[in-house]
Amino acid sequence: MKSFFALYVKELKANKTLFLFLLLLIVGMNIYGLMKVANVSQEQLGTIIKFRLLVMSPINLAKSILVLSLPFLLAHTFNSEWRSETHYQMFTLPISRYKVILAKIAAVASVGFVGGEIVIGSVYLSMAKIADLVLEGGGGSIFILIGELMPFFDFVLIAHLLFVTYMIFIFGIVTGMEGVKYSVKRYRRLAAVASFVVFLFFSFFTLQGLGVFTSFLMPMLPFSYNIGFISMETSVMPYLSIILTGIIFMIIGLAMYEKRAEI
Amino acid sequence: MMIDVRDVWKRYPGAWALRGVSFQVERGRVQGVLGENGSGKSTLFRILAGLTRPSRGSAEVMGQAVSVKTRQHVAYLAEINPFYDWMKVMEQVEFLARFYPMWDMDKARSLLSFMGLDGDKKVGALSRGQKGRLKVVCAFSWPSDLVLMDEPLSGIDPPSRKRIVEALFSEFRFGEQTILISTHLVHEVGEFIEDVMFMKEGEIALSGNADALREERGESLSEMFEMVAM
Repeated sequence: MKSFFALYVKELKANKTLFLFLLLLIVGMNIYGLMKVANVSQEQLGTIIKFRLLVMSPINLAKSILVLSLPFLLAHTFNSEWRSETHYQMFTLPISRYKVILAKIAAVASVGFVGGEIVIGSVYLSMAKIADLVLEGGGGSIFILIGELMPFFDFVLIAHLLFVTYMIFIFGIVTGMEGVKYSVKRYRRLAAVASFVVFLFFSFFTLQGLGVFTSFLMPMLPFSYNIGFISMETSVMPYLSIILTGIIFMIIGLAMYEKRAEI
Repeated sequence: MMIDVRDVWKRYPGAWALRGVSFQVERGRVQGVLGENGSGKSTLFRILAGLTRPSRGSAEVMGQAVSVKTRQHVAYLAEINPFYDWMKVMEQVEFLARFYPMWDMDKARSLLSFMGLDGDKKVGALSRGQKGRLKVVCAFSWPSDLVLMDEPLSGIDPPSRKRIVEALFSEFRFGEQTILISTHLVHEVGEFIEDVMFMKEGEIALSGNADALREERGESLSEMFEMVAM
């Protein structure tokens, strides 16, 4: 545990500029977005679609940046190690290589969690504001979505479930990709791209078989839910399927890095 | 037996780096590995350090196949500088200390002082010679059983070379520790080497006890090195 913590802190320090830049960008965009939301009046509201697109766009953009940057951040931690040749030091330490990778994942996941909390908080505050405005105005919009009227605890639970599921899945694919990349001696970039595509392709068919993508056309809740005329009953299966798929890819990547990667 | 290498072959894309290398090194010996660039020395060191695997054959350290367990006993000084440029010198030393239970911080501090290294200086600001000295500090701050030194003097300025050689003589635990050292600068460490192995094109061209070879052939190690390279 001591060695894992040392590796984890090392990863945070090694990538602190990038990590801090991302978090500051997310904080800034969310503050700007929340200021826009706070100043919206009943008259300016229009439809909820318009509200989402225009008023909440900084928050939505921050959300997209966070989600899209996480796989690149993880890939960057691997690449920077090999580019600076410090992987010589990592490979000769008396520890399993999977610890080195798990420390990288933990560091990027920490950044993801901090960013995720900021975004989830902002989205909830915006939803609360829109719910107030909608209810003040009679609440008749057909565009109203379940999130807008969801109790705080449920919203937080579902948002975290979605975010954690996504992180495990995408970190699994990137770890698998990096494991393949450093297990071959030639054409490493090509191997990385090819394995990324293969993992995505494989996961698409596996998850489609499990009905995950079709289920995701509707907001999935891990319990039955009733708001007015909306009634839903779903299960945690889709989330578990995605998490399991991510874990399988991660194990493949860890095993390949441990057994096959070499200098 | 500290090192037992049997019929090791290693292929990289397009070429064989090692072709059936076999040798043994007993505990407490200083084994020199001499040869030109591309003769397979670094590949051999990487295999023993666990950085790469043989394509064929077996490599054992302390009776075990090279693995995490053997890495607990091996200090490896790579030919390149594997340090984090953003760390301070002392930070790098303390980072490594967390992985080796027998790491001696007092020893590390005294070695840093002996090597003239400032613990508060960033690793990235060190010269190549200073980084070479830092490698020696890291290798001798804990009582490893085997020290693998791959070209520790290569590309290093004379004052740094002098300090590294001095540290090697003063810190090496004769009879207990085993050293495998490769170098082009045979004259700098020639008297330190007990057994020698000359490599050429991935094979061992000549090997034996250094004194016996000198006596038998009437040549210095440098002369033998040149003869083998031709």
